[in-house]
Amino acid sequence: MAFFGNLSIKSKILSVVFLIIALELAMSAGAIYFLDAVSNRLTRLMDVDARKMHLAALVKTNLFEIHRAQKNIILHPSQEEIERQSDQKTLHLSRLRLNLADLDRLTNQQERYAFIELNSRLDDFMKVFREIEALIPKIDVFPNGQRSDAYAAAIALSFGSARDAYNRLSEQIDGILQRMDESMARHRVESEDYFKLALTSVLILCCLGIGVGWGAGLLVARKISAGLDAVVTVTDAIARGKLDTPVTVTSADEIGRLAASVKQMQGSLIEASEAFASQNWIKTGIERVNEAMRGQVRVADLCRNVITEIATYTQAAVGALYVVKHRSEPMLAFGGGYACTRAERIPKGIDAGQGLIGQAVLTKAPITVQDVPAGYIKVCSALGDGCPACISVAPLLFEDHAVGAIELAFFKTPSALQRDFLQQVLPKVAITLQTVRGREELSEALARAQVLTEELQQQQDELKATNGELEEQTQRLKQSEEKLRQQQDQLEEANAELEEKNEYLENHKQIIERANRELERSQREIEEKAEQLAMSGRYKSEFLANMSHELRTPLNSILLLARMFCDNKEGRLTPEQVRSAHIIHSSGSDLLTLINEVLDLAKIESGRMDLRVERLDPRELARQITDQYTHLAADKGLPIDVQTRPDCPTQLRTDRKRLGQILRNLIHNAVKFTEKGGIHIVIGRPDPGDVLPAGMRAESTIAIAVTDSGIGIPTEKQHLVFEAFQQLDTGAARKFAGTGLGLSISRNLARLLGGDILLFSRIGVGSTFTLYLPDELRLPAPDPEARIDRPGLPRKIEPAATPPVLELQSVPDDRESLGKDDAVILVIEDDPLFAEHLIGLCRLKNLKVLHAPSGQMGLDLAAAYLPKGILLDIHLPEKDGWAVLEALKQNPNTRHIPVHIVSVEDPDIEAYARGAIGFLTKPVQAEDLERALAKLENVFERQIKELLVVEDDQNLRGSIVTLIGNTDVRTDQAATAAEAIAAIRSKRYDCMILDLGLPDMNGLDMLRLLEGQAQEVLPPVIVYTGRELTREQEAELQVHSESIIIKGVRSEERLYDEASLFLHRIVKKMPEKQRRMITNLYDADMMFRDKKVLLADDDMRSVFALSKLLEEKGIQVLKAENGRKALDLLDTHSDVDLILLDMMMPDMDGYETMQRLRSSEDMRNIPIIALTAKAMKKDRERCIQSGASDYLAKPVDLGRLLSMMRVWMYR
Amino acid sequence: MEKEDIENIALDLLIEAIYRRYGHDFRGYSKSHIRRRIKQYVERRKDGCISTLIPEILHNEELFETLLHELSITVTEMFRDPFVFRKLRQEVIPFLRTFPFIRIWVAGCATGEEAYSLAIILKEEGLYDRTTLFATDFNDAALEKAKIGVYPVEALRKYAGNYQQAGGTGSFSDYYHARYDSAAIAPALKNNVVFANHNLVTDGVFSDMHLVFCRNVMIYFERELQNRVLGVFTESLVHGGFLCLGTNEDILFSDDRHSYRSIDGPARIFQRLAVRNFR
Ligand SMILES: C[S@@+](CC[C@H](N)C(=O)[O-])C[C@H]1O[C@@H](n2cnc3c(N)ncnc32)[C@H](O)[C@@H]1O
Repeated sequence: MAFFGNLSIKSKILSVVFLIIALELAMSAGAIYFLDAVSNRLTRLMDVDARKMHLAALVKTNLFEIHRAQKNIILHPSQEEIERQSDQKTLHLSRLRLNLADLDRLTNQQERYAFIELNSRLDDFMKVFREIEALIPKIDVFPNGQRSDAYAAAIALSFGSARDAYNRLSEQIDGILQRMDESMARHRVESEDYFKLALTSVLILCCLGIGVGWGAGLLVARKISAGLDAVVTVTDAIARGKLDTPVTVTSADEIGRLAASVKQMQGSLIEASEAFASQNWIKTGIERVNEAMRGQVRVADLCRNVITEIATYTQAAVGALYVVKHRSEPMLAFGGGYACTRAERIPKGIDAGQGLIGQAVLTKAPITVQDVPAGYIKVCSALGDGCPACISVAPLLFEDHAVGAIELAFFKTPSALQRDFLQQVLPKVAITLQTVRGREELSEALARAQVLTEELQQQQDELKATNGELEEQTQRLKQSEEKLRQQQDQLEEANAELEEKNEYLENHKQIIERANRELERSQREIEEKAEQLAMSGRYKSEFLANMSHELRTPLNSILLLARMFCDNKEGRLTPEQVRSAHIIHSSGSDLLTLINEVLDLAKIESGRMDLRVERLDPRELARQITDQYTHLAADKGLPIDVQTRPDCPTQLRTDRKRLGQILRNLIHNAVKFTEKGGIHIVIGRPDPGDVLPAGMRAESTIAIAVTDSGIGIPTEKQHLVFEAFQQLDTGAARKFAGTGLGLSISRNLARLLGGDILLFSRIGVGSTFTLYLPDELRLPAPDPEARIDRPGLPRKIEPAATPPVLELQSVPDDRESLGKDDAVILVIEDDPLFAEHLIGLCRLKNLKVLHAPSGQMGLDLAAAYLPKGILLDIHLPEKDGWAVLEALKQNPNTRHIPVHIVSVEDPDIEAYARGAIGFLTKPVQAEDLERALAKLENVFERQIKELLVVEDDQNLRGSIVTLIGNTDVRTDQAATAAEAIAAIRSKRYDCMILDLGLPDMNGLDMLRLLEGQAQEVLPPVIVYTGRELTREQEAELQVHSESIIIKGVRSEERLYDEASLFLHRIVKKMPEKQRRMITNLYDADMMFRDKKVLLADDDMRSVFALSKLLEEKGIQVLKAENGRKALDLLDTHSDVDLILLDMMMPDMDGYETMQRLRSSEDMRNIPIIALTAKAMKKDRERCIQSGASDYLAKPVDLGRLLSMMRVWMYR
Repeated sequence: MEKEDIENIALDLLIEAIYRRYGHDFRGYSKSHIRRRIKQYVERRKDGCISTLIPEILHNEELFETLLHELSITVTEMFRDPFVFRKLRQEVIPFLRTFPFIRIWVAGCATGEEAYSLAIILKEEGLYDRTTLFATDFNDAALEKAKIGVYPVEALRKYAGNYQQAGGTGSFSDYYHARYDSAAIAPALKNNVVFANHNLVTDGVFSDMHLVFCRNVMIYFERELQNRVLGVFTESLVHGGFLCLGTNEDILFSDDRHSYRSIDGPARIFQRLAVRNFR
């Protein structure tokens, strides 16, 4: 087999092919042989046996013919017959002989006996036959037909012995024939058997051939593929990088050769990869060293990094790097070390030629020392120490100059590879070292030069100073002499004067003191009284305010329910019930009106009514009245006519809303109390005969007279109609139901607007109510009392006034079925009925809803679910809506969620300042709610930043848009204030760039208007203006805007910066510090509520920034730009809780301001925090001495300021 | 030990004493400058040496005041290095114009001439009324002089020349009233200038400045201190605000050098870079 194995693949395959061919040949030979044998037999069968039979048959036939011919001759012994028959006889006889001869040839041994028998019988027969023949000529036929005896004998013979002989012969032939037949049959059977045998043998041969061929093929294939597989496994392994897989094939064929070459290849690959690995190791090392050197600008850093890297890479135990210094002794300076434990023993400097390092540098060749003597150097670790086996020192050569040297100590003698690495890396280190050293030297030189120039300047200045001083001194000396003399004279004079004055002052002082005491006493009394008065008033208003809250909440539900019933959407109510619902609704509405009026009245009385002065045109007013009330009057069949007199002024500045309220009252009343006739309204200056309310002058007063033709009011009752809760007692008046508050409110409002209402009436003729208003309403400086209790700032609800804590009812919401992408609205509302209503509404809009019945729960849900929008009630248990809003806005995670307020409270601008996007007052109409939801959706669905550019110059507008626009900023443009206002109302912007000079309105006015309306939230505003601003304008603009840019050559740069800032401002991006600040400050802030702080600083920017932050804490901030203004403000606001005072202000600085404050009686104890940029103890002392309670360094750290304020405002 | 070494020790001790006693920190000042000044001071007193000065300074506050003045070189001029002011007009003023109100800090203002020079330029550029100038120094006597704003007539003559070279557009005489041998700065220039005591070494930053002027002050500081004070300026400036140093000073060696770009090399005008950069 081994022999076979060693055959070449070709021979292997050939041998198999030959084998198969041989088998094939053998098979064919066998088959041919068998076929031949079969055919032989068949031929014999056909040629011999069949012929034999045939011949035998022919013999028989010929015999018969001969026999017959003879008989015939005998029978018909005519001549011609005889002749003919003889011919016949001869023919047949010859044939017979021929046949017999043939047969004889064919007969075999056994048959020969039968044949001999036959021949003898034939001879017998022939003998008889010849006998007969011999007779024949003797047969004479007699003409009488008589026959001779011969004839008889012939016949006798013929039918006697001839017949017998013939018969015997036939018998014999038949016997032969039969035997032949038998033999033939036997031969056939034999042939068939033989054929079968042949077939089987051929088949067997065939199978055998196939089997052997197949087996041999298989064997060869196996032999070949096994070898190949082994080789392939190895090459695969090599390909996969496993170079050391052994090659197991040893055969001598091609595969063996292949395996051998694979083995060879493997060998060279291993070699190459080892070389490659070494190369790689070196390269990696160089790269690491390069990496360690990259970006190093200081030689020390460079050295440390390099030596560390090299030492760790080469597994050196200790290493040191020295740098060659220019122009210095010693020449080599220690640059950096690796694991140099005993640093003190390592020389800081080495001279050329000194030690190994010095030598290496000097000879510029590396030195390796094996077998380091014990104690030469020790390598220490925490656990022990040991001696290195080998020390390697090499110079760092740059352009054949040594720039440094490196020393490494190894425990094991470094391999060739490590040495290679060092050899390759060191030049690179040298180059870098050279550059860095050069750079460092350069920068050192530069620095030295700089110091020198500075010193020069110093000395120059010093010299000048000394010179100046010298000059001054001489000058002073001359002067002082003269001055001294003068002073003496002056002193004497002054003394005399002083004495005189003293006496006079003494007298006066006594008088003044007495008067002062008197004054103080009376003032105290007045103050007490005033306080009592104020207290009672305030109790009342507070009570009323709370009452109306308690009433409004349930009323809200009642109205909503009634409304639902009225609509009867499901059609389940009877018309009767619907009518009842209508009644409930209208009575509820009436009740609400009453409550609102009561609240209004309370507000006016407590001075909490906020006024907003606007300009309006009386003619326009007249038109509005006509539009608004014609219907109302027409319902009652009354005409109404409004007349503007020519003397009517063209404009009026007052609170439009309140004026409307008064007029509505008056006109409603007039219509109510009039059955026939009409209503007549006149607007103009007062009639010359009019008695004007006190303090009003006809030329600056506008009079609006509402005259009816109603029942009139008796004179004695006329003063009562303005009293609250008073209604005329007359039977006629009774039927005109009303709250009786209208007129009282109207008059109070009129007075608030600086005017009054006067009544002229006659029973049965009618009444005229005349409203007198000043042309221009000047608001008094805000009354401090009133401001404390500003609406909007959460009022502290007295415990007694809070309703008994109800079981909080949570309404089933969608929190179980929230999907990931669902838009979720959080409803914070304690009234379950209303909450359900809101939830229903939201669901209608395909929004999912969460419900929280309390403020805290609302906050928790908001933080947990981060809803898309929040509907927030103000009047909530535990934590009220304001606190919730504030907490939401202070949590960086929930800040962005839009909040819409739905509350019984009146809408309040403050809400917007605190971050709400809308305000709805309960009871609400369905449409209002829908609008609120739409607003929420509008906010949370935006992603693209919206920018509004308001600028009348089209070119400039265009250029701003191109400056700032990019794909995620959508810019809208407005050329006029009107357009801008419309735009802002239509959607929310992230930033607005505003030009102040607009054709239809001044930009500042526009901002005021927008802020005043409180409908919308103003986006951050960047004022971009070409105008110069006054300080006042700027201060006001600062309040409304985020940043002001004056147009100019360089302004676009700034505009771009600032706009980007606001457009991309996201809470997440806020600096961490600021965010933390927002989050931290939340809890401790409650104490700042309603506190009043005066902030005096001349820098409007920091005033603005600081006051904004403080205001966010609920602190009311008064601002002053210098000391004098601060003092003025304090005159009018005696209730300031704390003063923040900048020390460095123009006009009157902080120190002076404080001194003045402290010298006044009222301000002696008010806490003052001095803001100062100075930090020295002395300066602080000076602050305190001047009267500051505390001081704080600028720029102000808000956290510090707040904690300081907590300390000083705590009572 | 040599005499000079002993002197150095005494000097260090004196400076430490001043710092611990009065809070004035001269430790970061240029050693050679301090040595020269104090030696001069000691020589002038014709009594004792540096080491004997130490106990005296510790106990005698008035003496300290005089020494303090010795250590503050208040040499200054109006429109000193006129070309700087010309550059200022060309490069800085247009940018300042874009702010509705402008805050300028003149640190180390000495006797105020520099602050008034700026005031004149601002006036001529129509920006004065919306500017507040803070002029600070740690030398109270100098500050007092600055507040009064009265300078000898001879000096003004030189200043007039400077003014011309600085590109003045008006007549220099409009800005002062001369009486006898001295001239008073026009009150109109004083309105918006606030003089205040501020020590660059120990006191805090000013906020939101649009321009900081600190010329020929940092030459008295060692590098370390220069670096720190520059940090104070960087913090005080708004983004895009300007810093102007003395013609022999530079920010090259300070950590904050990357927060600025140079507007004019020789005039040493730098602009604080905006950190936020969306481009
Ligand atoms: C040479 S004057 C420069 C005056 C002006 N800046 C100029 O260049 O014309 C230096 C001023 O810097 C003041 N100075 C020195 N160190 C100071 C410090 N630490 N804080 C504030 N001012 C300082 C000195 O009082 C002196 O008035």
